Amino acid sequence: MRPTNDENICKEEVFLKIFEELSSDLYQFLYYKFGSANYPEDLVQEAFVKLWLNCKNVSPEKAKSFLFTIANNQMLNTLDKKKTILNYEKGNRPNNYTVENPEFILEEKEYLDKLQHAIESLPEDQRVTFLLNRVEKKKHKEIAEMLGISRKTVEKRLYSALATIRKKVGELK
Amino acid sequence: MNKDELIKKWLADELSNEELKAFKETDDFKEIEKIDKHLGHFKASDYDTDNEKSKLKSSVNQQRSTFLSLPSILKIAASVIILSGVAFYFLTPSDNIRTISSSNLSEFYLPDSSYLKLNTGSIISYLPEKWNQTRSVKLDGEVYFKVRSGSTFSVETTHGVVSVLGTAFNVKSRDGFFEITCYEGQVRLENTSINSVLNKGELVQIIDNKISESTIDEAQPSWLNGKSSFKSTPLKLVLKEFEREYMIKIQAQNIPNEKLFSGSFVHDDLDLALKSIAIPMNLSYEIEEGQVILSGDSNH
Repeated sequence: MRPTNDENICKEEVFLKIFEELSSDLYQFLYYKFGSANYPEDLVQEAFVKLWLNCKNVSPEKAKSFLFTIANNQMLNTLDKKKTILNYEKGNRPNNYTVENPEFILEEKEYLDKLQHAIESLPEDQRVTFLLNRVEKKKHKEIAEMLGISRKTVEKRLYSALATIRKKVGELK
Repeated sequence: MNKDELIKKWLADELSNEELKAFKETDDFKEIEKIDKHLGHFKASDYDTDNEKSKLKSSVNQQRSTFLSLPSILKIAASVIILSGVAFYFLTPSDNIRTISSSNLSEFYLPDSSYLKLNTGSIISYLPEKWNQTRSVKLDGEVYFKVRSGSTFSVETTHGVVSVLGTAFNVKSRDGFFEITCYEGQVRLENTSINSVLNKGELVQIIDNKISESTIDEAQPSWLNGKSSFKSTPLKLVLKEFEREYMIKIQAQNIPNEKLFSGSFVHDDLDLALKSIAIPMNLSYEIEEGQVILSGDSNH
């Protein structure tokens, strides 16, 4: 039997299917790792263009690690890499919004500022793992697969990240 | 179970109901819960997979078209290469495309320090590594250019190619609408049906394949100053631009879509902007649940 060519990345529909499957994970990874000031959307685009150019050399099973590695290296090798900044949304209020007094608003702002600094100060790997879990609600197993690390490592990173954040925003001390 | 174990298990979502209940009584939990509740504010902005997919498609196609638009002498050689192995093309290195979308960057400088400013809903792409050989960008949307003098600078759009030496000009390329305005120096516009040179203060429009020329007095496009201006433009295109600028939907009822509109609207006052279109065009409008309902006189 002839080897089938169905799963070749050089086929546009295979390539686009991989994009649909992986692009938003890759985007989240880059966003939480490097912040919005480093244009995570563009990095995703560049990584996929590189995948396309190398479609003959990369099997579909290897596409994920290829994309994550390429995008990560691309960023690390960019000379003008900007400081990671993760802004919080200011205007976003829940539906049950009630009129708040100024003191409460001020406290809330101070708390968010502290939290922002704490998150930004985390080592990149811990930050990605932590936010993928707490914000994107990804399970340990999913994160381990996404980043190519063990579940044990995920657990360790989450715990250290939480400990650091608690120390930095801790109000009782 | 000690404190650390409890927190680890909570992070892994592995606490039993009783354990969870006990954990919720602790001071640790109150502190962590507060952090957890606030983390939602840091969620990554939404990733628009469909939009990004079409950007990717156009990048990939651009690579094909740069390849195919080589001078004809090279085309023969090129076709030989295609026959002798597609791999060569796919593996051609350095075709590193940079794509800039107005959603993340509104103005920037190209490698030769030519200046670009992007209006809402516009995308520009170019090849940074080839920049020294060819100054060429692909455009979808509306962009104001200030080009450093030097070799030919070209802007490719679906409506044709605009090429210049060093000058300031505005290109607007939307569905069914193309407009180029020259603010300094000279600009050449080429497509299948037109090949003309514009001087300072001249403007060419192509609407549904009809070409018209006129002149302007402004020194730079009005949208740079927070206004959109139109000259004899079909109302439906004006409304499209309006929707794009205010990111709002317009429900049009009995609207004379083909009627021509000349005038402008501001970008920072929805009500005033609507008035400036509705009043001269004899329309009435309402703003309801985040959309605009615009209606014409049904008796006509």
